[in-house]
Amino acid sequence: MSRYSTVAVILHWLIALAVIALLIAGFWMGDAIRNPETQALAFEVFQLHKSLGLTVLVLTVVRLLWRLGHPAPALPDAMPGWQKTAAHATAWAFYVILLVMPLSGWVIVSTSPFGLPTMWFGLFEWPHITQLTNAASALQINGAAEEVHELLAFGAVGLLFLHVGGALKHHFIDRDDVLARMLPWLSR
Amino acid sequence: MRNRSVFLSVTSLLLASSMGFATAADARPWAVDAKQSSISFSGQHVGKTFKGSFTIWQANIDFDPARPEAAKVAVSIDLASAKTGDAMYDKTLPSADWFDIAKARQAKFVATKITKTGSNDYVADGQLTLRGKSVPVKLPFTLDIAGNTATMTGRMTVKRTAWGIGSGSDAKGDWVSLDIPVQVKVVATAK
Repeated sequence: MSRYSTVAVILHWLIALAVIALLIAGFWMGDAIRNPETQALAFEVFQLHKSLGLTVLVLTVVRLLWRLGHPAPALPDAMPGWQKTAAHATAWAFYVILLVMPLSGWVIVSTSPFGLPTMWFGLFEWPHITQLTNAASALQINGAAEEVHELLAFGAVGLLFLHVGGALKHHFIDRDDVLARMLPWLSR
Repeated sequence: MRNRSVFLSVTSLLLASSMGFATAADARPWAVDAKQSSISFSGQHVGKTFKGSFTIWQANIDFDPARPEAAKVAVSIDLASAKTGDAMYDKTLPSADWFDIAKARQAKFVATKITKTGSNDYVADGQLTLRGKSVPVKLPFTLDIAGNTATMTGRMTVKRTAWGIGSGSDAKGDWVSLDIPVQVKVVATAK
């Protein structure tokens, strides 16, 4: 097995596009919601960010379950051990972020003093974690979850550079099939 | 003998009211045509205008334009019936920080004084009770009566924080305007 299964490839790229959109929106909207000129747009972007983030949560759970039955293809034998370890660590750090980012976002909306419901792309209401909403320390939980969410956003950007940098290095410098495992039409 | 006098007084009362004589207790009762009447509100959220209305409410109106000072008006509004066309707003409005319908589902308006200010213009002073708080309000309105049908349109702007609406999450109006224009249109027929 020299490449990821089609399902894994599709899930990877869907999540990748969503995460890039989420990061761009996330870094922009925090200040934009406080600026009267961009407030209305930022509010809409906030709602899209929530919907897209929860979508990533669901897709990531599906992806991890899929992975249980469909192991990742082996890395090239020529790769030094430390590089293999680094690649695996990056991948699993990504999985942790892909779960903790939306989960901390879910905690934030559940404990927000605004009490706005989360409408998934305006179609249905995504339930809030009511135990947190009603908690006496809801505001403190909200602040802590925001810290985690923001820190992980920077972590995600760092990982993204490592991940993309590694993939490009394999493709253009090592000239192996590592990138082609996730982009089958690049196969040499 | 006694029965007869009761009979007579009841008949004379019925006659008097059917002939249109207003009695002191009954200024002039009106039946609201719910289909043509509305209580709506609007405001700004993140700089965008929202509009909504209450779909369930009822009004007891006793009003004779010739004697506005004798008028009795009481309106009861089901706060849970507020509809804005935006699911997010509709789900937020009933919550504890906004209308708090779990505590008091009905808003009540009771007119304490109606004053004529022009040929068709009046001002209703009254108490608007919401979230367990009564606040005096002034509702200027115009009234057109054609035959048995009266059309009343009024507009006032209320400050939502006077009742503590949204005071927990947005007391300063950073997100949702403090000023909420309320529009009332009532079409009623004489009972």
